[in-house]
Amino acid sequence: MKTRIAAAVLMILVIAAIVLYMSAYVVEEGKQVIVTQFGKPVDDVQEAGLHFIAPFIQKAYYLEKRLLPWDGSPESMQTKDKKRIDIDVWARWRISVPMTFFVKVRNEERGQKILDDLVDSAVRDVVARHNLIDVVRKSNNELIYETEELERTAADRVVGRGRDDVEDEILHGVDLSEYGMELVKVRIKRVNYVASVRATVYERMISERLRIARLYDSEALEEKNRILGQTQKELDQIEGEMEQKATEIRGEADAQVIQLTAQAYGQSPEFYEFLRRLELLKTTLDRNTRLILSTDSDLFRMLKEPGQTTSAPVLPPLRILEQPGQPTSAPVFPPLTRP
Amino acid sequence: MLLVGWSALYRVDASEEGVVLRFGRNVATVPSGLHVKMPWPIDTVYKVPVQRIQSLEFGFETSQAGRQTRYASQTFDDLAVAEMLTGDLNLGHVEWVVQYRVKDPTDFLFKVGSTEGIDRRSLPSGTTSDVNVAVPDTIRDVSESVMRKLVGDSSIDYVLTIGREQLAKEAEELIQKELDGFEAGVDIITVKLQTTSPPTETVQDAFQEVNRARQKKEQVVNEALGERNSKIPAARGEKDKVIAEAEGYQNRVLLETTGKVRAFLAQLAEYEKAPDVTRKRLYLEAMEEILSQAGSKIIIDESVRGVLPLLNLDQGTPLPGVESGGGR
Repeated sequence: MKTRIAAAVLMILVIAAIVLYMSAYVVEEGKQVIVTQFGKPVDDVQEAGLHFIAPFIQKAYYLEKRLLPWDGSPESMQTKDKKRIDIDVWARWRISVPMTFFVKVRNEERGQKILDDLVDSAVRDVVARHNLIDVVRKSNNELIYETEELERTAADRVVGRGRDDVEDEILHGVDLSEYGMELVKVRIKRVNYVASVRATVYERMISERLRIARLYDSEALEEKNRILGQTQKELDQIEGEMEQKATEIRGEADAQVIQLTAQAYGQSPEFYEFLRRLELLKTTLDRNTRLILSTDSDLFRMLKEPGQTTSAPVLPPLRILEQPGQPTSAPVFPPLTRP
Repeated sequence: MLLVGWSALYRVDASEEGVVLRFGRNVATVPSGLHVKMPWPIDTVYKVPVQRIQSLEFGFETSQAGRQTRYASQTFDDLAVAEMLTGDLNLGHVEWVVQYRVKDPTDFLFKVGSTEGIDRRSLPSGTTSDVNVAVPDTIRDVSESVMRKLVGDSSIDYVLTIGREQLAKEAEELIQKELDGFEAGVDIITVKLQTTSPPTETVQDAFQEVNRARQKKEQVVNEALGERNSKIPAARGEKDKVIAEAEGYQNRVLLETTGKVRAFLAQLAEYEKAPDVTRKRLYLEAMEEILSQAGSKIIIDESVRGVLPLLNLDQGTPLPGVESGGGR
């Protein structure tokens, strides 16, 4: 009897535990639950914690409450200015009205599928309305270059906020409210020319750079020639000044010499001439000179006729012979003119 | 009992924080150490590595970090990540690294999700932790779009050289802002640009050519300036030298002339006292000097003729200009 009662109690406890286990469920943070009754959704549970349902009648379906990712695959499309680009966008979304979502979409995987369809077409629509530059840039801020030569004057202008606008337009172009979903953010992940165009872009970049390199080369020559020309000019100036100054100084010196000597020698030109002739003789005749003296010369005449005096002795007529070197013509005394 | 006891004790590593959920509800965040919890199935604990700095690489992949880090060869996907349009519609290759850390483990776990849920996955250090893989994926997406947006609003030059630091700084701010908007619970520690280069080797060569030309220009200009610097001062020195010489000349000739003039005037003064005698004396003195100096002397008388031809023979050379007779 006792064991029977014990067995019955145990039985009831086990059944109670099973029922409890079947009716209790845990909602974890970041999750939400839709409770269905005979397949029809009747309640959504947002609060994390321990919750209960009526076993067998009700069922709990878990849904994400967190932000969910969506990543599109790269799509080839054309911009307003007929540029072919590959564009890759990502989005973040969440389940905003779980009841609606559960009825219309059911689960997250199918939610992704809806985004695939809607976001891709929205991207196409928006990109077709914009020029490439609007998809690439987000402002009309001046582009900064390392060298002035590269600064392009006529760069394409961006309409509005460019890429930011494009992203917003895509975001607003996707209406998910009927699915109980909310699109939180759309961002352009990658945008690039299609492969066939890229090669020509590379070519353009190369030719542009080479053009600049050539410019530097010729600028180098220009600068060099300018410097060397300037240098030559300055050298000529310096040398000219040098010649001028030196010639002036020497000329002045010579002029002063002329002035001084003229003043002094002018007092007795004859005496000066006499002294100079004697001096000249002394310097002209040296030990290599052969003298041929006539006995008629003054020197000897003075010996022959000691009594006779001449008021002005006349210089001896001399034949001067260089010896032993090259024969020279008989020197001619330079005419001494009075200053 | 043992099993219950075992499941009540848990350890949180030094680099981690534990997020305690009671029936799925967040009740506490505990620091590292040994802790007690309610046994399963009441409490569960997620351990989140909040201290650990994690890196995400864009456009390249480190295959083996170490003293000499090896990098995996770039895949097609790496290249697709790195190649981006610049604001002047050129293409650039940008590789970068984003380092982040979990700042709020609760947000980290429960705000950003994926359909895959929360993974328990093996970390590089060998420990197992609860990591929300949706967060790194989100950081990845945000980083790519932010970096492209910034590069898309810059010139190729800015991306390759001058703007690198600024780009990284702005990227860090924008990535952080976007992630905070998602309540991802992470802190972007740093964004660092790695290689930034033109898109292909040949384009790179063209860029190098510009650098070469720029350096060559500098070199040529410097050489020209060098030549100038070596010539101008030398010329100035030469100028000073020549002028100084001229001045020296002036000084010298003036002194000499003054001397000569004074000597002459002195002589003249004496000469004028007795002109004839002085004149004769001077003449004779000069002759004396000359005759004593001269190498050989031939004295001929007017009556003696025929000496000159002999002299010619004696010399062996003709004596041009020698005329017979020596009369004045």
